[in-house]
Amino acid sequence: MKEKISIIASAGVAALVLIGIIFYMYGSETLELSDILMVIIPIVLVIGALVLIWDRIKNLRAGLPSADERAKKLHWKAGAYTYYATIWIAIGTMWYNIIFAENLGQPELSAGQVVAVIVLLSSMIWFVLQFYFMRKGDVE
Amino acid sequence: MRTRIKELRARYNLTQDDLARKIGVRRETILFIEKGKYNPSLLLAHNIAKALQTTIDELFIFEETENHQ
Repeated sequence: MKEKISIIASAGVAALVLIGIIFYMYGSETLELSDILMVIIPIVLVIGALVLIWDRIKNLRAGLPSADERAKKLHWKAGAYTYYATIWIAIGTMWYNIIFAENLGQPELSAGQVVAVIVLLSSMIWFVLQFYFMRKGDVE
Repeated sequence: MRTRIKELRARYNLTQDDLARKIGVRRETILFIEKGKYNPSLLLAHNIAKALQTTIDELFIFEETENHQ
């Protein structure tokens, strides 16, 4: 029951992100490269989430647990590494504003853009690590 | 570390899926344990040994490496 609830919740979040993307695209008068990237990356993340959700559903239907000790271990390991990567991404956005925006005249990242970059990149890293660790077998 | 899981599964005519279902883990976990790519917890090792009607010592073969010696 608990596993079904987590699957439904994950699918709900993915659906909300997709709906948000649709509203964002219809609300924009012009679409620039950064806008397109802000759409493509969440779509890739949603696809990754749906693959993980489908994998869990497949296991549940086969009468197997959606997440056993190995899956949980790799899940938390991926989260730990993502945390470290997120710190570096946050520092990277700060460097971007200092080096490129203030000194080289590039457009400065707004607070919203910084948050979006951090969330999107760290989510991508988390998904990639999950898939990589699941194929590798173990992380020690 | 090597295991005799595949040999004992064949003895009892169990697929990886059957064994996974019996002890409550995913099939991939059994696959990676058989390949020696995942070290199970003590509890999981015990459950596998019990399902295959053997002991942990009989099921898992630890090889001494030069570093250990």
